[in-house]
Amino acid sequence: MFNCSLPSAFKRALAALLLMGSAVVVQAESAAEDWSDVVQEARGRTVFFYAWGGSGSVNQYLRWAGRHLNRQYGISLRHVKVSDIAEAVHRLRSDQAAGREQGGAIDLLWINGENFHALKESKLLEPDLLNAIPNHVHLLTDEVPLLTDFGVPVEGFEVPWGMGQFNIIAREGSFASPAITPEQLLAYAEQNPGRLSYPKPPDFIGTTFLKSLLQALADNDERLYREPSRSAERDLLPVLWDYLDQLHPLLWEKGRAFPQDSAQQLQWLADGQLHAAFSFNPQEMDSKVRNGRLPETVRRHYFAQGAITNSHYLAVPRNASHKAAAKVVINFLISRSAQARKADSRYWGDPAVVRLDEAEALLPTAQELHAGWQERLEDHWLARYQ
Amino acid sequence: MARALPVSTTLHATAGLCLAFLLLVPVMIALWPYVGQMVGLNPEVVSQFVRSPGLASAIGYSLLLATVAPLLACYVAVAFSFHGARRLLGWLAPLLSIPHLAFAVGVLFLFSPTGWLVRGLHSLFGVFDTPPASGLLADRSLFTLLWVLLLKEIPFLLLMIQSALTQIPAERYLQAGQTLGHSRLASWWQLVVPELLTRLRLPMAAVVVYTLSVVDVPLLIGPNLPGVWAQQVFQWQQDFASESAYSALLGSLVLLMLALALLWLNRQHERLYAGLLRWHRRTDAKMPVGLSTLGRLLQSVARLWLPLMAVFALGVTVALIVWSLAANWFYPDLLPGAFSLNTWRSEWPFLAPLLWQTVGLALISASVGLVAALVCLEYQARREWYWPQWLLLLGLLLPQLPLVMGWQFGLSALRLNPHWGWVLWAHCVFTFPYAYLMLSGDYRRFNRRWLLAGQSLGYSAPACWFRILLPILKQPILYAWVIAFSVSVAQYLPTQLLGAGRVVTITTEAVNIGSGGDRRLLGLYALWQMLLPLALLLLAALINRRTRQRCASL
Repeated sequence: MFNCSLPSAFKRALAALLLMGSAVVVQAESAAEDWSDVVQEARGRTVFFYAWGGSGSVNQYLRWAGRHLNRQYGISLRHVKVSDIAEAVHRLRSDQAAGREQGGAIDLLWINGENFHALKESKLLEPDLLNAIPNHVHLLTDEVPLLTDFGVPVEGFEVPWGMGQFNIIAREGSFASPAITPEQLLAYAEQNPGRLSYPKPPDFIGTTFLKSLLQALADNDERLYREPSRSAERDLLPVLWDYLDQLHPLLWEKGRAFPQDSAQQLQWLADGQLHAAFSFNPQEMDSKVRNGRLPETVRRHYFAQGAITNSHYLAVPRNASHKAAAKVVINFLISRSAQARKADSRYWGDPAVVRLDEAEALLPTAQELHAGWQERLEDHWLARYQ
Repeated sequence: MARALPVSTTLHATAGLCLAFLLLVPVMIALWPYVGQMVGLNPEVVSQFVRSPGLASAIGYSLLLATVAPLLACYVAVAFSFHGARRLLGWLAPLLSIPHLAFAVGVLFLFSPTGWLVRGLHSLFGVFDTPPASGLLADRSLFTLLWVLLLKEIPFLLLMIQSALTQIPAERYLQAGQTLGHSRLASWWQLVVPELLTRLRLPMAAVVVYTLSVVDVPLLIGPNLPGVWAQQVFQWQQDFASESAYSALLGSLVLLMLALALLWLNRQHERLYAGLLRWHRRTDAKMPVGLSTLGRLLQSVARLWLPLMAVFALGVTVALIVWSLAANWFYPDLLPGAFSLNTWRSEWPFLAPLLWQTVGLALISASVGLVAALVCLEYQARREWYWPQWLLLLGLLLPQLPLVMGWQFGLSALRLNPHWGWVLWAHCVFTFPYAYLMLSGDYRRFNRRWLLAGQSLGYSAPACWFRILLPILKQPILYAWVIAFSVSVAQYLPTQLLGAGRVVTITTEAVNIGSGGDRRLLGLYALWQMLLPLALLLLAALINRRTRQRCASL
């Protein structure tokens, strides 16, 4: 029975090991080869990149990236400026409804949160994207929770591109310390009626403001980080609505109209109509002051329980027309050089997702709420105030 | 009168093609998704739609806006026309060709709480150390929207009144009224205006539907808690949740119904006016003091309109230029801290291709629209049988959003890629009715005996058309071309939805950049949106003058 002698077992094991080893080598080689194929295939293509177009510095940054990509890879990057990326999600959905499985209009998307969630659920995104991008190995996935997007696992459908931290830019002297509380905000509104406002939810920054308030007012209740249950909604939300009922009459236009988004809010801060504006980019204030878009007399604040921190991503639709070129663009955008320029407040100031030598310290962080709260907050808010 | 010229087969076929591709096919394609998707409707979807937050206010805003703005514009225009400014056309053309969006941006730069007016008051009198919290035109409100649309509709209605007045023996009416002992002004309002209102029915309908369904202007300056109805439907249409698709569909149906209701009201307007007049005459009641004061007030406001509008237009242009050149400009400085060419320099490489794209689309679609309008008019003139005007103007009388949504769905279902050609075609659908509306009055007044005379001298029918009709109607034709061009430049929805970002024009870019609130970029883009039609207008004026000089020297 045991006629299988030791040497032969050894030989077999050795053979198996060799086979495995060669398989690994072959795999590595084929990955490299695959990538050079991808780069080859990408040459001469145009990538239609659907991304929010409302920020001058982001647009400038993408133009810089476009010039670089064109020089190095012969790819022309076309920034399709949308006022809300949900437009792109809508387009993909209608393509799906019409049965269009290839030749889609969108090659690359800048998304996160509910938009990602929706596209992932409808299976509209290119799978295994993360591993297909060679530079993904440099991502700070161990230190920062980049692989869950608003509580939804990324599962390779998108590639982290940058990080956001909710912060408040206010006129000098408005608040005593960098960390502020909802009570301080309300007191300020009472002293300066008509001078505060927030981007109208479902704008993403407006909703994040609501989330920050909720975190503070609900004493960071742990149920905020789980799928919201009916009882959690019943327990936690009323205190927020009470607060807003007090705040709204003290807001700009008595809370009957709101800035459409944070960019508009920032413009009104620059005009002096508002005394505070919100941003998701911790470097935005420095960058705007430097560009002459905000006066020098502004200071950065954050909510005392910490700045809500989340990441934003790049994804490729399943029906994209130029997938190879889109991957090359992603690989470039998460490279050290591209990330360093992005993090530089002279250009964009968006925190990097790869390790850089000189990275700005982040604000004290607060966890992002579970994605389910987003929808609840927005629906209730609209039902109450619209 | 005998038929002046025979209807050739080519003309017959071309007119048929124009109608098919610019009228029938677009409307048919737009109907398709409604028929197709209505099947999926169930009570739950409908009840969710009915419960959408802000539904009633949004509809209320739209109804208010689409009733008040056109009516006020109409009466200001009618009151102004009493003064019978002869050289009005020269003034109207540039005012008319400024796109709504650029005008809206400029008006905000002037009259918002941090606009030039407030800054000026601050530097003169030291008032408003901080910008007034509310006052003048808030950056976002229904009131601001109403003002912008009202001011912008007046030139169009004035032009239409000028055209209508050539069909009414107004002077004789006025004289007849005066011999009966009425003042000239009373005769105007009692004898000429009722007739005028009847003839303004279609232009008013176009204005009402435009006000109801415009999306780009409310997106920038309208209220947002909630927005006006069209904006709400547009947002549903852009939203991806599957319930939103049904809401958008039902919402656009509601938009259609609102349009129908308002068109019906618009038709009652002239009857109501005539009825009130009859009642007033029968009862021989004295005009209520309030009403006559209101009338006098209106008359004086109307007299001020032209100088005011000229100052506004100039102010708008200067404000756009200064913002595009501002380096850092904070309240309450009257002028930027420094001027710089940075915005121009960094944007120009991206702006220039956009401008070419916009001009290309606009030139072609304006020319197609103009030629189609001419073909249809000539065909009808030869047949001596005119189609009902509302049918030809269907593109203006249907709200734009449901039409374009239908086309987008159709293209997607037919697996057609977003393409320049589709956008061009969509633009033509809208340039055609405007060109037709601008031209039809003058064209139908043209004395066709000249053509007959030409033929009796041995010229062929086309030769007569080119050598007699074209030179005589040159001015209105050039003018219709400029307006069609301006209509195409200002198209937001068709370009945005059918172009899918592949086809970008100055207008779509201005709205998308406007979402970022950077005044300098917005100033630059709005400035160019305004300059393009003005440039063509200048060109048309030059062409017109050259030919007139040539004619004079002959």
